[in-house]
Amino acid sequence: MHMADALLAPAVAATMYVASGTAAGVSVKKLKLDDDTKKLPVMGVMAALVFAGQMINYTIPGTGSSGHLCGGMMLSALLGPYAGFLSMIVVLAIQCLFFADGGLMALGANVWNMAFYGCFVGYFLIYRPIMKAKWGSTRTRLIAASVLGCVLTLQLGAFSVCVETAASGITELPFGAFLALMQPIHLAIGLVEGLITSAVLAFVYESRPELLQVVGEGETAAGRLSRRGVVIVLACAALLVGGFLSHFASGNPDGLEWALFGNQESGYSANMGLDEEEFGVASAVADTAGSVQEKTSFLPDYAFASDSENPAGTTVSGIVGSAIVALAAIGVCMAGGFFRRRRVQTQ
Amino acid sequence: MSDNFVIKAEKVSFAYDQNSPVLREISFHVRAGESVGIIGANGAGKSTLFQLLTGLLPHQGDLQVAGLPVEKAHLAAIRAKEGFVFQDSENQLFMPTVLDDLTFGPLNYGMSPEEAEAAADEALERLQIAHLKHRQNYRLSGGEKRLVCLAAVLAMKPEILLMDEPSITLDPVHRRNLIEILNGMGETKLIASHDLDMIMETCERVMVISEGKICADGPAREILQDQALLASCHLELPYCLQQPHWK
Amino acid sequence: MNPMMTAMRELSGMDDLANMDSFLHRRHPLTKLLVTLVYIAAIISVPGNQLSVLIPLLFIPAILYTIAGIPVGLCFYRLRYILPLLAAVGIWNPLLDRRPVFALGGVAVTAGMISFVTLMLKGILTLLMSFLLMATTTIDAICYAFRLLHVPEILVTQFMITYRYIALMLREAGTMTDAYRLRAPGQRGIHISAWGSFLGSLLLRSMDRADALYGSMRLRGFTGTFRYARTREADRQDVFYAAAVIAAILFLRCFPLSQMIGHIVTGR
Repeated sequence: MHMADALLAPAVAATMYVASGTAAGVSVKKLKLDDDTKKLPVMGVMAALVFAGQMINYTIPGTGSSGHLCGGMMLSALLGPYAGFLSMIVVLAIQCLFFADGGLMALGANVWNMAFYGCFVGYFLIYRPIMKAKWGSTRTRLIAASVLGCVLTLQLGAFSVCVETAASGITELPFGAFLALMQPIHLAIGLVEGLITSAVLAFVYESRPELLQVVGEGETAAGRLSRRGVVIVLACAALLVGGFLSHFASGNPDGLEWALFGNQESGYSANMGLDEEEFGVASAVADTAGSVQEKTSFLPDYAFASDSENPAGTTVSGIVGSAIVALAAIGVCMAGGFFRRRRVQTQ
Repeated sequence: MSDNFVIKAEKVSFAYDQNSPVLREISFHVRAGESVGIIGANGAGKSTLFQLLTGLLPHQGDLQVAGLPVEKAHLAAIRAKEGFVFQDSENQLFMPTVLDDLTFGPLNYGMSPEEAEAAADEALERLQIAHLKHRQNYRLSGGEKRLVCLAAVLAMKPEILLMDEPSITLDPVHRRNLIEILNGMGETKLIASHDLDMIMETCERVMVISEGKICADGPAREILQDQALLASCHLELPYCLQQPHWK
Repeated sequence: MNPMMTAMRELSGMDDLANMDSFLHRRHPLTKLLVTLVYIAAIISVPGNQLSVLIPLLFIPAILYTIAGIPVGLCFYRLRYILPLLAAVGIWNPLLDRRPVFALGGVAVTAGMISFVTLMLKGILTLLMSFLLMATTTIDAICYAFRLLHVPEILVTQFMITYRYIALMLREAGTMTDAYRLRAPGQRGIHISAWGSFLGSLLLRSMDRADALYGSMRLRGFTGTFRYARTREADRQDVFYAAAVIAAILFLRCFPLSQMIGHIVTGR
């Protein structure tokens, strides 16, 4: 479910960074209040464990396939939501930096989709209420909380992926169809992940119950209140993000283009101070485009993509130019030994 | 105080739970500059003793290190004088690179970054592993990790070295190298190990711990040759003192 | 080889690259991070149908990889996560958007095909640059850059500790997987009866390890804040490097180079 950089428009990526950054800021602040220096090594080691644990294949009985762990719910149950969230951020950051799973720009979105829901929504709305409840044995409640939590948070995550992609205007697939594709898949994934999580947590509970976060006990009224405050802040952040994204989703996707780079389609790119040159070129190109369209009209039955929308990308001179530039880039690579395997020097 | 004891333990006890104490009222003194081998069967309490000496576990009784009682108020001062080399190097080297690990302690004790790096260089130089300075910890070999752990401790310029199984997992050459390094160091050393041959070569004094008590304490030359005593503590003679039994 | 071993090798391969020496390796980590972010932002700001705007941006990684002496082949292996994902999302474009844009040898090239290729190329280019960042910057330098950017202390510290212990956890999980497979031939993964205990036992051991680790930190004077030895000022070369590359990125992004050249060559 890792989003890639290429699937996001800059504005969407930035929005998700702000949202995840806010949640991270709140978590850092909450953790400082705890003042438990031991959390640091525990968080580091647990994050590393989740990283490695995600690679373990779990056979799903009755099918030939295997499931995996995601870890957000598990870390929250072991470390609490704030430390769990920060640990997940680190896991995702390392995955994107060292293993190219995700992307530098998409990190904000990935943190939101995979860590925020699992650690906060899953913990505060599902895990904690269920674990505080009186019915069943602790073990039963642990299983129920893990499965429900994972299913819900994965659904939310998958939904966010759809919204973010649609808002970025990347795919021609209608939003509804995309949703219809993503949600059921993640229902199955969430169920399996929930079962794995519950199995691990039940094992921990039976061997060393003190390792699981104590929910509810010994919480002062003030503590509860401030926690509620945090939840409200986070909920507002979620609403804000949702509103912002849906605004983009409903508008013209191409309108997401960075304001910085100007809007070449509508014929101005004044922002960068390149207007005269570029404008000149663009209009020349637009002229050419018209003649090309005439020449290629041996396909009259097709409705041509309006060239006024993409003057730079689709004309013959555009194609020829692109080919030359690409060849030149490859030439640079060859000359510089780009494709050669160099001996790596290590000390 | 006229004596130069750096460690004084009087009736020190520790128990994870009251019914099964790990250490029972042990008493011993260590003088500055001494090398003391601590031997005993698995689970005898060797590692626990080190954790008491560093204040990582709470103890009962009277325990003094470097003239200060081991209690919360003095822990920082005491730990500045102690260097504890863990049994598992992985637990000790927690920073990404060797240099980061070596400067971690000195920086925490208030050295400037330049001083800390100088201390790190000095420690690396002393163990002749300066070439490891910029390496990643996880890519070191077992022998290298052990030496880096020792260097990380030496960079803090400790007066007392506590070593838990320093020779374990080392190949013969690295082990020999370590023994020579240990013999060249003037600090007070407490070495816990099952490697009795190494203890023979590095320590003049040996303490035997068995079932939570010190059952012998004396010159290494006497204790390590006392087959009956060692057997009663679930130990054997050092290999070099045993008759070879070929098949 | 189990997947954990593969990951270990990738991690150490990255470390080998980062420990090489070149003009790029010697640059201040913050400048490299900044250049990478600007480049990725430039790439993803290209609208989905403007392939010709994207192509000139190939020059940047081509030149930088050459300067750094990093073999690009290593990078392509990493595309295995990204390309299938992009393909899954992008494959709908050629199917759904069949408006022909121009004809190439009698075959109509549709807008959907162009946007599909654009998306894939975007994926490749963004990855090329983030790989280059990590292949020329060591972990401690990256953490230093994070601190300069005021990323919260606790995150940076945790990043370092996690990075350090990932190798260990991978090895342990890998060994456990191998040991499991040797005693359970024919099973593709962990059987449901061991779902909890497999990772659970590793988890318990890791908690003990965290305890020991915490002890080791406290013995060396840890009281809650990390202190770092390394500092590095940006020098004139760093500033020059960042300014030049960012200017080049913006130029290539905003100036229709492909159009110009095509215009000159075809005379239209």
